[in-house]
Amino acid sequence: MKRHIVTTIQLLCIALLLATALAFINPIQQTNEDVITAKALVQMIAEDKALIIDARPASAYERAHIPNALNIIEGDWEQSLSNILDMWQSDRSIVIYCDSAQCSTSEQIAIRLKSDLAIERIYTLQGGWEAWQKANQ
Amino acid sequence: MTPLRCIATTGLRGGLSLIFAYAAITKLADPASLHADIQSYRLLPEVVALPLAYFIPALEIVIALALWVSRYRQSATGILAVLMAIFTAAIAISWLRGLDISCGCFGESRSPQTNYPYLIGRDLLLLAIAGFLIYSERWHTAQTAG
Repeated sequence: MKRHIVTTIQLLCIALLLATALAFINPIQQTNEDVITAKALVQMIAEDKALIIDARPASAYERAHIPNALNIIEGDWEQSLSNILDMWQSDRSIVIYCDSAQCSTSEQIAIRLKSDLAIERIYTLQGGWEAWQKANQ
Repeated sequence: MTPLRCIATTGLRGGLSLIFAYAAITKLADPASLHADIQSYRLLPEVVALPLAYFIPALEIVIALALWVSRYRQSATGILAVLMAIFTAAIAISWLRGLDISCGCFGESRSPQTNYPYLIGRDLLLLAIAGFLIYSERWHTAQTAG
C-alpha cells in the first residue's frame, strides 16, 4: 500500500514537472473576453463596424440569423478561419454569438480567434441570439 | 494468470495507453483550445483552468507511459480511474446544468450539440476497463503471494 502511495506521488510529480515545462515551451496567450450588448451591436452594424460570426449549429443558422452573420463551419476550423479572414477588414470588430447566455461556444471561438489571428477587437454578444431577438422585436 | 486473462489485460492496458497518449497529443497541439474547453464547463476559476490546460495532458502522457512500467502500472491505473471519474462527473454536472460544452477530450474545440450520453458512456467504459485492470492486478498479486 505504502509503495503505491509513493509511486502515485512520483507519477503526479513527474506530470507536474512536465506541465511546467510545457507551459514554458508553449504558453497560452491570455485573452480579454470582451462582451457587448445587443444594443451596441445594432449601432456597430449601422456603422458597418462589425463582422458578425454565428457560432450556432448550421440548422439554427439556416432558420434565422443576424443579418450578414457568417456561420462557423462545424468541424472545419481551418475553412472557417479562412472565411473569416476573407470577410474581415482592419477597421471592423469581430462579434461572435451563440444561442443564449447558457452557451459558451462564442467564448471558446473568441479565445481561439484571438490565439490564431491576433486580432484585438473580438467580442461576444451578451445573451447571444436570444438577447438579439428580444432587442429587435 | 491464465494466458487468456494475460492477453486480455495486456490488450486492454495497451488500448488505454494508446487512447491516453492520443488524447494528450491532441491536447498539447492546441493548449489554448483546451483552456477554452475547460472554461466551457464553468466549474473552475480561471486561476485553476489555465494550469489544468497543461497538467491534464501532461498527466495523460505520464499515465500512458507508466502503464507499461511494472513498478508504476498499478498507480497509473489508479490515477487513470480517478481521472475518468472526475471527467465523467464534470460532464454529468454540465449536462444537469444545461450547458453547451466542448468536452476537450481529444482536442476538438467545437461541438455545437454536446452528445452527453455518448461522452458519459465512453468515459464510463474507460472507467470500467481501468477498474477491471486494477482488480485483475490485485487478483494476480494475491495469487502470486498465495
